[in-house]
Formats: sequence, C-alpha cells, structure tokens
Amino acid sequence: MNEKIKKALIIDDDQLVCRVVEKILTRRGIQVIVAPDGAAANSVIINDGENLTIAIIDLVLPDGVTGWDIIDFARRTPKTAHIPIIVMTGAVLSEEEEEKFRNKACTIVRKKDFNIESFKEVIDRLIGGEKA
Amino acid sequence: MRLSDLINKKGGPATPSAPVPVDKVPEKIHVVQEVQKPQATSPAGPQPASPAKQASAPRPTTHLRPAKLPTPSSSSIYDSLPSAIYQAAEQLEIPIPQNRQLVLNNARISLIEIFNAATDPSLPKDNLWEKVRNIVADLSMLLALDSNLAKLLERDSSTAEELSSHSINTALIAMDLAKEVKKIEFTAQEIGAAALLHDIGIAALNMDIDDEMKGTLSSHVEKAVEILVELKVPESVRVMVAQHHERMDGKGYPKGISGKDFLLSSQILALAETFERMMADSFDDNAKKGTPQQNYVQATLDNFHKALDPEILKIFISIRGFYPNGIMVELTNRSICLVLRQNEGFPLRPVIQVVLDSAGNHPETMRVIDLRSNNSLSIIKAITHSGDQR
Repeated sequence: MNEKIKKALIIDDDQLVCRVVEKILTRRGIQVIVAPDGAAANSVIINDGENLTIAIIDLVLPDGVTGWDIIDFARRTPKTAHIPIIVMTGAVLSEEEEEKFRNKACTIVRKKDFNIESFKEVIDRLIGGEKA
Repeated sequence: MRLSDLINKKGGPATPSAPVPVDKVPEKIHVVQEVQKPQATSPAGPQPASPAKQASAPRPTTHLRPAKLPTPSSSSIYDSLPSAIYQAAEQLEIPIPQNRQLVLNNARISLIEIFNAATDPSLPKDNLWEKVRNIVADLSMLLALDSNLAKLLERDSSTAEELSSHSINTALIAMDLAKEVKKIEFTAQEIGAAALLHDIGIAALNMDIDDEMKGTLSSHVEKAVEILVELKVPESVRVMVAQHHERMDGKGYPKGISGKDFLLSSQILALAETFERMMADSFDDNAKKGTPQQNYVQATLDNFHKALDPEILKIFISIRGFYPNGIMVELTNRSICLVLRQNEGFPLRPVIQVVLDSAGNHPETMRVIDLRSNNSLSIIKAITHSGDQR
C-alpha cells in the first residue's frame, strides 16, 4: 500500500479558523499547509500544486488577492484544476454566487453554521474517508 | 496579540488583482503558527451581520469580482467570527484567549486612552475609531464565549475608570440585548461602539458621571456628537449616541423626539445605559455581601415607563428575569425567599431558596424551589433594601 499522503491548503487570514480546520484535517491524517494571504496561497499552488488534494479558501483576504482570484487561478493551473475546493466564508452569498461556485466545482461551508461533524462529512465526501 | 486580532477580519478594500507572479511570490510557505496579521487599516469583508448591514452592502451578482464587495465606507463596521467557530475551537481544545479579566482590564485602559485622546486637543487622534472597534471586537468575543453576562460586569471606583467601566458594561449589556431584538436598524457591534462612546461628552466636559443621573444635562450629549464627528465615527453610531437620553413619550433630551424617531437601536442603548446605572450598586463589594439587593430590573422598568418600545422591554425582561438573582421575594404563602437563578422563558418564575418559611422560621435544611415546576406558588412582590416593591 503506497497511498499518496493527502495534503490540504487552508487559505484564511484568521488564525483561529486555520487552527480549527487544521486540527480536524490533521486528525484525519491529512497534511496541512496554511496560507494567510493570497500571495502565500498562490505560491503554494505554483510550487506545490501537484501535491494538493484539497483547498479550503476564505473569500476575503488581507492583501488584495481574494478567494475569487485564487479559485480562478487554481482552476487555470493544470496541477490544481481538478482538486476539490471548499469555499469557507462568513459572507452571505446570493443564489447566483453559489451557482457560480458550484460551476467551479466548489463546495460552500458557511462559517456561521460551522460544525465539526458536518465539516468532516464534507471532507469525506470530497476526498475520501479517514485513514487509520 | 490582542484578542481582536483573532476575530477582526483584516485588510483594506479588496480590489481585483491577478495572481501574484511567480517571481514575486514569497518562497516561504507560512504555517499557521507563523501567521502574523497585518495591521488593520480599514474595515472590510462581505459579512453582513444584520438587515441594516445587508442593505448597505451590495452583493456581487453577475460576476464575482471583489470590486463589488462593500467598501469600508458602505459596509458595516465590524467583522467578527461567528460563535460557531469558537465553539468548534473549544470542542477541539484549541487554546483561545479567555482571560476575561485581562481583556476587560485592557478594554478599560484602552477606552480611557481613547477618551483622553479624543478630548485633549493636544493629543493625536489617529486610529481612535479603530481602537474602539478593537474593544468592541474583544467584547463580542467575550459574549460569544460566555453567555453569563454577570461574570463580565464590574465597576471601578476611580473617576476615570468608573466612566470607562460604565461604558464597557453598557456595551456588554446592549450587545447582549441587541442579539435578541429583531429588525433593529444597526448591528450589535455598532450598538456596542455607541455604548462605548455614549458618555464621551462627560469626559470632555469633566463632569461627574453621577451628574448625568440627574437627567438634566443635555450638554454632554451634544458635546459627544461633536467629538464623534471630529473622529469621523460612522453616522449610525453618532445617531445612537445623540439619542441615548431620548424617550418614546417625547420627554427625553436633548431634542425630545418621540415615537419611531427614537430608533430601536438607540432604545437598546438607553435601556442598557440605565440598567447599568441601576446595577452599579450590585457591583460594589459591600453591596454584594448584603442582601436583599435592589430589584434593578424593576427599577429600570419603572424608569422607562412608556419610554421604550414594549417589545424591547419584553425581551429585556425575558433575558434578565423580572426578579433578578440575589434579590429577596415574598411568595403567595408568605414565605421569604432568595432568587438563585433564572428560568429562561419564565421571567416571573425563577429558582428560589427559602429563607423564612410561611411560619416565619428558618428552614433547618436548604430548601430550593423551582417555581416553573411548582404552580401552587407565585411571587407576590420583591423585597429590597429600600422597601417593598409591588
């Protein structure tokens, strides 16, 4: 059994959100890279994109590069064009916005409704179950 | 790191930008322990937290460009993490700063500095509004972490700190109340900011905080608004500060507005402000030792007879309880009891402890009665240190 180690990119400038998501993922055997801003996120996509299994992206980041930009960039980059993306946001999204995200194969998780069990289910659905 | 750094969404107005070119990309990948948030320069973030906020924050529709995000001037003033994230963090045993005392002390000191800087012409006024937002963010987090408001309320005795602790207590009470009131004009955080600043006129005029209780001084309200204009505080906050001594019956000041002109958000501030003053005695250690305490809920309600929207008063009673913890009450069987805790949704039927039974004797063993499940008994009146109340 030589299964590739799963690796997640978390893009959020809030430390607490990053720590929460990181802890859930690492407990499931998933390696985590945290990017606190758009520049760091794009760096990971460029330099380590082929190893990413999933990306979890906040929409509003501090350096002017937004979650929307990162999603577009990840989808245009062959190494990450196919990976599941979770949009984790505190914003209220319209139906049209949600549809746009779905068209880019993104799953939406609302921070205000965040729940550990539901989040684990989303992760399992997108990249498979917990490894022993 | 400040608590608010954890819960404030940072960054300026988002603008469309292409991904960063490879040659400009930092080589080092940040890991979470190394994350350093940049200094906030302006509020940002598309996180509508209230109808008012949603109304002022146009959503992107046809194309998802950040240019369509609310700008700092049009968005509401805060973003804070939803409590769901804190709950998840607690479940995962992720340490989050929870030292209430430290946070409250820092908030008090910071607010005194704000008052000083805002009212002293010789001191710089840069970032004062940002500092107010930071305090509100800290208080929001405290409320999100701990629903027991009583643990958070304290009064300091020195004059400067008394005003600052009064303002912080008012903010906590107002934000706690605002969460429950539907269809308010502004967010709980905006109301909290107004509560922090509502008495800045007192600081500027070197008045004694107790002078305001006489209810005849409109100058401090006008002075406060004047200062807030200078500090470029949003209009929503200025309006609430301007109205915090008004009443629905038109008998308030400085303008004597009435009816719907007296915004619900301002009413929340007015109620919280008065309630805090009524409660001030209970913050005093000596008063805490002696029972019965004043029924400050009832005293507040008396103060606002016909002065506030009934819905606000109803919610206030449902949160605070009509007979607050620590007061003595007399029951229909003539026994005298101490109110121990509230039953949510049953403001007239708290949990009580019998102090004197119906025959006038101290019970030999502790007797606790949950009035919610004992329909044969009711409270007929509260007994306070200033005499019986209805």
